[in-house]
Amino acid sequence: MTDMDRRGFVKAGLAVLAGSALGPGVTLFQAFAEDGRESSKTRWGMVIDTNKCSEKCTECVSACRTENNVPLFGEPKYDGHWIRKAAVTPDVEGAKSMSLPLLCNHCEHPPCQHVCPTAATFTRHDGIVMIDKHRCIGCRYCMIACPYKARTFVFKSTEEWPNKDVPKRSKGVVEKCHFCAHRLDKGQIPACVEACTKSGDGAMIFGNLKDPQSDISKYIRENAPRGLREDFGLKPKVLYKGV
Amino acid sequence: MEKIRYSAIKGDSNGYLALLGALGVLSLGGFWAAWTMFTDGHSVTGMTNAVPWGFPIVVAIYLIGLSAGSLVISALSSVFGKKEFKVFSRIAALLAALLLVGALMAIILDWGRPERILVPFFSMNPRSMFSLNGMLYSAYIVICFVYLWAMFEEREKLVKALGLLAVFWAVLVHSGTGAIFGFVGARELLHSPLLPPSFIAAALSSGTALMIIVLHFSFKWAGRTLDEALLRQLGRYLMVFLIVVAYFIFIENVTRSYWPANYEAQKFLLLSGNKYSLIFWVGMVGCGVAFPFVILVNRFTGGSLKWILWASALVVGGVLAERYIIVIPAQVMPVEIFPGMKVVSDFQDGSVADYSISLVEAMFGAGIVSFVFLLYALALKFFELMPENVEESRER
Amino acid sequence: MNGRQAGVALVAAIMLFVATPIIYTAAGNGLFRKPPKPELVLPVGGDGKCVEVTDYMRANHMKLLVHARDRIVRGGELLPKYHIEGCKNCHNKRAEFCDRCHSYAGVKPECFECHYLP
Repeated sequence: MTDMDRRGFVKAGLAVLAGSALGPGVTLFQAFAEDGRESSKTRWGMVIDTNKCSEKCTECVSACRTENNVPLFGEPKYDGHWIRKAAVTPDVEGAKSMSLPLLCNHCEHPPCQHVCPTAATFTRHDGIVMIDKHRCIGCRYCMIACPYKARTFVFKSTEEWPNKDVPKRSKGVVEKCHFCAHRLDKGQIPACVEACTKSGDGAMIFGNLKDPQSDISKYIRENAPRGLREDFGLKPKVLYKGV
Repeated sequence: MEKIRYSAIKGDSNGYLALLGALGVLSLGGFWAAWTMFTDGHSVTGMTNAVPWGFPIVVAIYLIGLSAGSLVISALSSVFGKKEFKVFSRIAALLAALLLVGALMAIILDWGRPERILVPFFSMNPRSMFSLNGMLYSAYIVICFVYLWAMFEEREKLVKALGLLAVFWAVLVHSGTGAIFGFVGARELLHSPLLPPSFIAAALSSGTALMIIVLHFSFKWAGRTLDEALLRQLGRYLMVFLIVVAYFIFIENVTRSYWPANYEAQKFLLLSGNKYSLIFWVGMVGCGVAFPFVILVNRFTGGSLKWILWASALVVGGVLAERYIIVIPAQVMPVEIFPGMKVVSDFQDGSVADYSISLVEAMFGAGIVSFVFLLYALALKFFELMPENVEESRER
Repeated sequence: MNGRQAGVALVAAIMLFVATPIIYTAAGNGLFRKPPKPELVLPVGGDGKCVEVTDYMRANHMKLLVHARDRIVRGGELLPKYHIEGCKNCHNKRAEFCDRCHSYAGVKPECFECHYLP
């Protein structure tokens, strides 16, 4: 090859490279445009009354596992936790411990969504922070960013499939509570709330925060429950009474 | 004074082939480890739900730092006017590009779903530091290679312009890497506006140290003469960079330790005698800053090439420890969901998590690094990267 | 070796690289023997009609699924006509229908790793 050919080839190659770098830029505009409809009518929220929640009861946890095929490997390192029970004790002499469930708070300003490189974590039109598992690359940045440790990674695949109407876990992606969006879309309530009301302590209230006549809105007006780590400014949608 | 002549190394000695073989075996081990992580899931590693980022991420950010530092060394001649370092420019630029290729490989192979590699490029999230960094890293590799090409073509003006762009981009790249951690408000041990500049400081020190070692051994094993004065000068630069690194470590830890909310976390990290304290004091501070500084600053050892090499080796190891200290303790410490209260749960809330580097992760890390140097060694043989006449080309 | 030998070797290597999958596939299927067309057991139910005409579905069901998926999951639309759970009402014997064409064409959709289709 003469010098001219080599130079021409390299120039062409560089032009192709530069052109291909435009690809992400063009789809950048798409990324802004496509995240769900704006719905102002529904904003799901949950209130947990810790005075009613008892330490022995784990109805919400079992219901979630069965409903959503959340894996239990028998190894605490890898077990998935979409909702978990915690015992919280103030650091004072003789203080009583409170029992409460911890789950994804579906924040209005979710740090997990801010850091997701593929926008796999996004907020649906009704305020639910969802993970699009088809898009998740399993980078786990969101797990670092969540202040509530609400997310777990699927470390290995599992063959168990208790509920065949919903997907089972796919190895290599991150997952968390999504307020049983599939049930909400059918007009039902999340599995944990249903279990708590039917066979648990009745400590969970779920509903539409934007509806001033809903049970949850009335409860919030009367009882002023608080979110966890409100100082972070994330505006969580799961509020606790009695903490 | 002669013009610098570059030529490929012969690369047919037993030593060279043995080196290629060893690096090849280690690289294969690394790829096997990555394959196992992909097929069996991350349960083969030491990572857990409490500590989702392990040694692969440590290695990735370490390599990015080395790359940025090497690029600055490469640009000493074209951008900073130190013409005597022109002899190193090609090697340093190539190493910068290859190190970042290795870093990208470490990141992508660590994903749970690396086969979805195109997804972050076509559905990026402009607010995510990971996403922005992905764009920055890819562009940086292209810039480094174009910069290298300009050096091959000996277009001095273009070299200067591209060198400037590359240095600017390297600062952007590694500040971005620091921002990945510094922007996370959920973890007290990470959240800090100092993290991006302190990453740059660590990059400068580790990159310079790596270049000193690589240059010395590359020239020695290729049988070419190298002006030792150049390496000694790099050693002096390294000494200055170490002061900057020490400053950042000091300010960061003193600031954090001052606020009572952080007493517990800082005590855990610095004073509890566990493996993190050990890695912090012996690795990050001792090997990363203190011992090499002592070697470089005093007149008995500061001028001796052998001692400079040892100091560089200590820095290279110490900065790896620094990266480990950034990534792991912040995850091991529990998130404070109920500040001031005691928490117990099935998900180990409120308790310190456990993490050790597993064999798979160690092989992964060693494999990626070996692969980078394998490519470097091969490049020396097939491209005109190494100068033949350093002595004769010096300005008198 | 000199430049010409290296060039010949390179061309030979490229040709071998390209030819290998062709030879492998042909050998696997029996050289010059056409593999049998897949026999499908058509699903019953839904008065014999899918959500779109057969020719369209055969060519485009994967695109339909992906777009509907994004609209349902990300857009939050309900789309009962295209929801994957709705397909199950008729398509409930994967081994006799879906898998037959998929293995003939040599594709392995990863959907079934998580979505149950009996």
